[in-house]
Amino acid sequence: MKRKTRILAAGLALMLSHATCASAADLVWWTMNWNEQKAKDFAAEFMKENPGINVRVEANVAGGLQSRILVALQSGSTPDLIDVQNGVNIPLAETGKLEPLRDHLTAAGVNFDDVLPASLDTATFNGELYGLPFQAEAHALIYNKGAYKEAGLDPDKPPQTWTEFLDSAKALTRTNSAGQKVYGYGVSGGGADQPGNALFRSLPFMWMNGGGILGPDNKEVTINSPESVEAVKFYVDLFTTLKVSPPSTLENDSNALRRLFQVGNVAMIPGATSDIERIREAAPEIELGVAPLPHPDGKETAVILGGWNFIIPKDAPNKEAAIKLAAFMANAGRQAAYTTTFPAAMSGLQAQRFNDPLMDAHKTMLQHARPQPAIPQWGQIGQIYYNYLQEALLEGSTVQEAMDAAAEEIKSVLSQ
Amino acid sequence: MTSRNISPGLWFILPTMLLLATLIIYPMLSTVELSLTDSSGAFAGMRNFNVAISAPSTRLILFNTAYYVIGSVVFQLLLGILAGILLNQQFAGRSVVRSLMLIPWVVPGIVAAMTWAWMFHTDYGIINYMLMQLGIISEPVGWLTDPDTVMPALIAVNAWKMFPFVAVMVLAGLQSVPDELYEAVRVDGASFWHEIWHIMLPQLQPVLVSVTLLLTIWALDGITIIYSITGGGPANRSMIFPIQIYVQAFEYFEFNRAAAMAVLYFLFIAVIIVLYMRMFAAQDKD
Repeated sequence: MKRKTRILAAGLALMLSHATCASAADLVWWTMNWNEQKAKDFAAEFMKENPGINVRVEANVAGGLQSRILVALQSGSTPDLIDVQNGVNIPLAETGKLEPLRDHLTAAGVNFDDVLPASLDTATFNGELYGLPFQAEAHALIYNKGAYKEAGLDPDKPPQTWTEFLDSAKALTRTNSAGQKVYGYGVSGGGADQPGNALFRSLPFMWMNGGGILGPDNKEVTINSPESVEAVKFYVDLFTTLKVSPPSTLENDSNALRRLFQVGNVAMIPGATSDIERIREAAPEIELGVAPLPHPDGKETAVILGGWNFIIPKDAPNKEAAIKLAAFMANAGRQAAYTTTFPAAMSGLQAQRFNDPLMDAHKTMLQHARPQPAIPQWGQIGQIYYNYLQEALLEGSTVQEAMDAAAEEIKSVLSQ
Repeated sequence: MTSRNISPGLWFILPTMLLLATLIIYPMLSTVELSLTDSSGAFAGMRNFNVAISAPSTRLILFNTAYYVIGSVVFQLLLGILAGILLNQQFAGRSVVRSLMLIPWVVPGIVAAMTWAWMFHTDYGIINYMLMQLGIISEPVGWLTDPDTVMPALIAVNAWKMFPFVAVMVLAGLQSVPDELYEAVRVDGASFWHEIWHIMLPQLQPVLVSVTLLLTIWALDGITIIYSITGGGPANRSMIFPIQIYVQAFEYFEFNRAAAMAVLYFLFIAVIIVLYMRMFAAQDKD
């Protein structure tokens, strides 16, 4: 009994001490687990420059991040600065719980001319800026040069057009000299990180072909237009009729595809520069090639602009200090160190770390990158599209039927 | 009437009632309020309910939910009763087997779910690997991606996860059956099968009635397994109602519609539970 009391007392003391650590005076910065150390280093530098402000870094994991932020925003008990994927910036702004930043940050000396314009679009809602982009990225085609050689293809001539892309994907799909089954391309049709992964990999096909999910003003639904359907059919056929994508396609998110690439099972995947780093780490023996995403003959390539933004909640207890910290992190050099891909402040691209020729294709793609539609319903629209993309991959209906049904549902979401 | 006249029992129960009111009744009322308003807090009447009901996927999701609940409960009961009866017999190593059997139930849901997801994987799952080695299938089966196999696979995982609970309850129930009953039927020449049918199952009935109720409730509100294995996919083929509510609220930010769906689901469950209680609790009193 005595022992129990002692344990209880110890537990209580621990809770109290934790509570004092988390006093309201601390500026709380929610970073991501992969950036925790970097964030702590920058926080230390920031605190030296700004005595009197105490920054506490808390690391988040990607799974469920959006709902965690949402709960914090709705409850009013929020951190001061949060790293968010740019795709959720506008849905979060729609709750009315984010602080508009342009005036604050301009006053704090941030030069918005240096920031990639498409990145700023990901944070702009109703004409106001609700986030500060710090990371920008776009996919390129990552391929296995060894598999190219084995299949009799020239590893220095990656496919540029859809026709060439199909030819290589077919040639690459074979049993290799080690007796292993190789597939030409990895279609993303399932897994945990959805609908995001499928959207990032298939929507560019529509854009390149002159289609899309929504028209330019985000009011008209174009997902069942001939251009869009042709593009989705091109993507779906890779799995259903051509079978150049592995049987597990409906289970594969980006992580699964990268793993299949690393073990030599899949020879081409779309991915960001962070994927290159991870592949090099896990499978240094693979000779990597990177190329811009192939486009339809006579048309331009296109890609979704990914990236991360800082947001500051309206209810943040240390708003002023958080704005200072955001302005501090707006510095191009700091962004170049903090980002896992490219910085959103363009002058940061001069940094030594981006001097790798394997990143050239990604830099090219950044010029062709477009933000996702900036409307609050986008998350839901992405899910609807993803459900019908799966329907087509399952061959439960034709691509045309699936996209017609998706268009109906998206129209009803837009009209609500 | 002064406070002295109030029965002391009422005072004793007051803290509990207050706690229940804050933790259960307030959130329920708040959900009902959310379901009747729009995102700006203005009264919206039945609009959220209309949108929730008229969604094209609603029918499929209701069907999936019923399929999942009935399938899970039936197999959990079957496996659990079977295991409970077997483990009640005398054999060497019985206590070891009894403890081993508890593993699925003790393992955290998310761990079990991820393990099964990998085992079911089309390309590198051990299930396809073994079946192909044994020559039972010639091509990998997409257990979690084929619309025909995804629900049975998920039900199998759920049955595996919960059957030890049923077995433990059955075992406890069987141990309270007096030996005289068995002796009596054995004198009359009863076989083991007769013992199960005429002694064990009737004696277990009160246990099974409450266990079934618990299993049904858990299957109705359990999202861990499906959410972490398939997320409701492919194309909503394994989507169940509680996950759809979660998705509406925390992925689409549609709190009002999610609240409307939660209210509907609450009524749906309430009807099932009331019917069940009527049928079995009444029978119990006879």
